[in-house]
Amino acid sequence: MLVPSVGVTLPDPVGLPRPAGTFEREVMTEGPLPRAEIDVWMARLAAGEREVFTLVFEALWPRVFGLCRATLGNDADAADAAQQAMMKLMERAADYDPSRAALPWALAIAAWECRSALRRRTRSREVASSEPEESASHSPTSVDGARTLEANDPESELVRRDLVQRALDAMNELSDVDRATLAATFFDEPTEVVGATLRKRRERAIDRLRAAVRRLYGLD
Amino acid sequence: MASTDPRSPSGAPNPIEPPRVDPDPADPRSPVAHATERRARRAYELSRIRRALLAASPVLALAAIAALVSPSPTRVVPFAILSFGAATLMVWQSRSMSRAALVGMLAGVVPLALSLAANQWHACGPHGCASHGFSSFCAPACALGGLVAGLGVGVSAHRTRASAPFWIGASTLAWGVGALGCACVGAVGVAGLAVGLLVGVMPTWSVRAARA
Repeated sequence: MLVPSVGVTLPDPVGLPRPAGTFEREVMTEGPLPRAEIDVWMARLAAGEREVFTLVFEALWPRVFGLCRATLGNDADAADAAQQAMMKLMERAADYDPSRAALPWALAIAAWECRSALRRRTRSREVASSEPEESASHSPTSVDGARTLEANDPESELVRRDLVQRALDAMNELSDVDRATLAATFFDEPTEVVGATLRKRRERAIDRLRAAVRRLYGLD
Repeated sequence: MASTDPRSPSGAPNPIEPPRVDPDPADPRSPVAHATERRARRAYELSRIRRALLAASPVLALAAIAALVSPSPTRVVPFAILSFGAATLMVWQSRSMSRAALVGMLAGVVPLALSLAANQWHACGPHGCASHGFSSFCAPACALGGLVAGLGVGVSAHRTRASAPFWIGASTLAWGVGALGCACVGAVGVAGLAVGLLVGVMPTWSVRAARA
């Protein structure tokens, strides 16, 4: 099932509840193209026949784009993710096993790319939402006068201190490794791991931080 | 007479002209799809080239062995470049040519091994083959190796009912790999290898030609 693997609730254009797997079925059978034909073209492309490249691309693009659009909810993000997905697909075209159906194989790769794009977007929103608070508290010469006034306001200062204290309490619930990972993420502290390992540790640390905040204060 | 210019006299867009609607990005003919297709095609080719370079790397290993064992390593270099280039090109081109590259590489190992073995037994002379010309053993070793390689290529191509490019590609690569060892014998060794290869390929090729 593609929909659960994507990990999002797919939007319904008319706002009505849709049975599970509807979108998947639509994507898998979109257009008049029989699945077997894509399989043949994909097998030929994997064997090195460049003549079918455009056919494969034109068959897959609407489906991949449709999946990304449904996952990400807007055309701009969907175009980026679909582009990445198509490039990955074509990079791995030579790996395609002709005994398997091409469309599920292609859509699995596309779903992974869409999910990665969704995760990146969520993360950048989290960072963006934490930045105004930081800039307000750390830069009294902020161009945003209202925000500067707010930061200088004693009541706001108390609220800010309370939030910082709560965040520190939640941080104290975490292990040393998690704390080091979060420090490396948000304060550019040096860390002993990089790349995928750091990313995985960061995701887990943020999850545990969320859980700690929820446990302590009953909110995210 | 009414003007056919869609713009108003002031040069501003005609207000009654319908606004231009951008095509749906999901349409394969949209600009986004076109740009993606170009990038995807490049990614496809680059990926194939990377694979081809990796798949052709055993030729470099064979060339290194030949250069270490041969008394005149510099003679190996042109054949190493030729064989590596041919193998890369074949693997990059298509799956059937990849098979031809594999067959050619394996077949070429026979004359390579025979000529290197002959050289190790000092059949080519203590100061290298070139200084003594070809001995009575070295050039026949190359020709015999070529014959066996040609038979191997022929049988393999015949079994799979391969096309002419397969025969040509596999034979060329077998010759190139074999020449890594036969190069130290000189032009006679390389020519002997080519003759042996042709003679080996000929019977199965004739059968194919007769059937066609």
